[in-house]
Amino acid sequence: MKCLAVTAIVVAMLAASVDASAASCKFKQNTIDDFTQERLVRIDWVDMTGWTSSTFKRTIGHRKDIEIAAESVGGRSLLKFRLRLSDAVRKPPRESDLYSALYVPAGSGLEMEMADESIIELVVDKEVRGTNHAKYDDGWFVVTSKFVVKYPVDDALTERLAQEDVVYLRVAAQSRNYDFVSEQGTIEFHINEKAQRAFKKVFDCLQQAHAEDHA
Amino acid sequence: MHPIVRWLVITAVAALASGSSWAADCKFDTDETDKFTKVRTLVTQRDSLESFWGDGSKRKQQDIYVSAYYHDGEQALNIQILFTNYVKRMPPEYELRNAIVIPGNSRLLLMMADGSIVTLNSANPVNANARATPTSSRVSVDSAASIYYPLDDERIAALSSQSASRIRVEAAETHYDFEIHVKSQDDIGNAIKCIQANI
Amino acid sequence: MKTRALMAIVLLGLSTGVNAAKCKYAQDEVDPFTGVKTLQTKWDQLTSTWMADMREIDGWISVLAVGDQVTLWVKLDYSIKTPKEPAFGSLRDAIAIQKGAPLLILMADDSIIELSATHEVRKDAYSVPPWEQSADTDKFVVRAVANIEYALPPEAIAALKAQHATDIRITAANRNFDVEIHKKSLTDFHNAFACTEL
Repeated sequence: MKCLAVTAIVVAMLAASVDASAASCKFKQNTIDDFTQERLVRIDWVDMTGWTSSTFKRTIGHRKDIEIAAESVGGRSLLKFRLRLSDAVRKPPRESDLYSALYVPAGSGLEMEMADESIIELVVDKEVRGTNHAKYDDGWFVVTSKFVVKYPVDDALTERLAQEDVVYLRVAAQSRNYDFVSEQGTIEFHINEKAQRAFKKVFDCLQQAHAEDHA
Repeated sequence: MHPIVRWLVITAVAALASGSSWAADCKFDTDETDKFTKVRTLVTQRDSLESFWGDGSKRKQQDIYVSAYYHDGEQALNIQILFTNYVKRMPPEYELRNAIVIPGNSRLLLMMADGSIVTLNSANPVNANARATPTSSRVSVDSAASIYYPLDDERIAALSSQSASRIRVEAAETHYDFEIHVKSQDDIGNAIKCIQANI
Repeated sequence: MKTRALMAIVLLGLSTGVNAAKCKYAQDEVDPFTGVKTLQTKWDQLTSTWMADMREIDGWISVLAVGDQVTLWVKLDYSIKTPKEPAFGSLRDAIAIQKGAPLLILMADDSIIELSATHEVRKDAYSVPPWEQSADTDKFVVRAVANIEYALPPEAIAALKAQHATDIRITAANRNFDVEIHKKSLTDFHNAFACTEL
């Protein structure tokens, strides 16, 4: 009974957190740049946290949130992830600890495992260092890292991501001193059905925006 | 004199006076000749291109100033950009580094009244770190950069012949766009004309 | 005629005597072993003493003659006031003069005499907080002082004796330090040469 109640709560949270049933595209921006005449498209962040399960145990002070968005400039598209992770430690962090708490080296990969078990690999071309800070909470120092990592995607991949389901994400990253990254050097997310629909919607909207240029 | 003729004369004089009012407004922060090298340097007083009132509701504020510069026969436009961002907590020092990065030869794009775009290229690279200052309830993070864009005869003519409505400062991996306030749209042209009239 | 000639000689002698009496020396000695004479005039301020603490740059000169080797010394005193304590590291090499860096001396006829620094000089600034100053202020004073030696070839001496100098420019690694010579100091170069018998 208790299990059913918990499941119901989780389902309700999933429904609330992911607006998968949105009929229309919500563009944060869909304009023509006055200077370059290129179309600028930004799809707003979609929170994918409520529905993900993770390979890490979620305890107080441990947080792993992910949002997805997309943008394009003149048809050159980027897939964006915004991650927020936190870890709780006893030892107060120094500035040098925060600097290397979590970062994505240039050339690091993203693996998207698709429903058909194929793997799409993307690579980030610049180093990404997040905004890291520590907050004292009842005997613990909660170290939180927040960063946005962007991966270029071409038209073919945009079309594929608009139509096919992504079931698993692995973001390659590095972390020192904190429990952000697995032993394999990745931050992993399982994508459930509702989040899969949101993921596809983002790329469907991007395609629609691009189609306006060809209309 | 017939009243109509008198009216026409007064109107013509007024029109001439308003057309040349930029000359009366020429103010220079620097107007000096180096005693040793005899090189003359002229720098117009900087003008704000955005509205004075800005948008008080923003968590971020931005300002842009322009002045025209003359030194040893060379002319340039000097653009100063300033950003203020309010955050909850004092950021670590490494987050303040390279707040504004403008590589050498970066573009400055000016949208003119007729819709054309005048493009300038920066002379030297500019790297600016931000500075964080705690206030009563939050932390103000400020960054500023001053960039010089050399002017040739063609660009001097293009910029001084009509007003500019928008400006884009290209930086490394980003750009900064500013709407020029309607009362400031002649400022760039007037600054350049002030230099031209005094060299 | 004879009387007038005698008067002129007496006056000349008197004036020379007056000049000699005005000469102040930091050094005036003869090396007992080599017999080489060393004369160095005391620092003479080129700028006005009035409102000196409001000025960023002050300059002094001195002439050093060791035997027949003559050099010009320039003391540069650079100070600024700032509301914030200067950042660590910003005080380093406040004055940095490379060996061979020029000293430009602007003469009354707009000509320029150029001398070369004989040695490298590097001086860090120091900071004086408001609570350690005698004046009632809320500003930090950041100050650097350097003594720089410049070679004085005979043609430069001749040019400096021929007319007054009005300004000097000390060329440093990152900037120039300009000193405008106060009207009361226009004869400082002449006096220094006279006192070192040049």
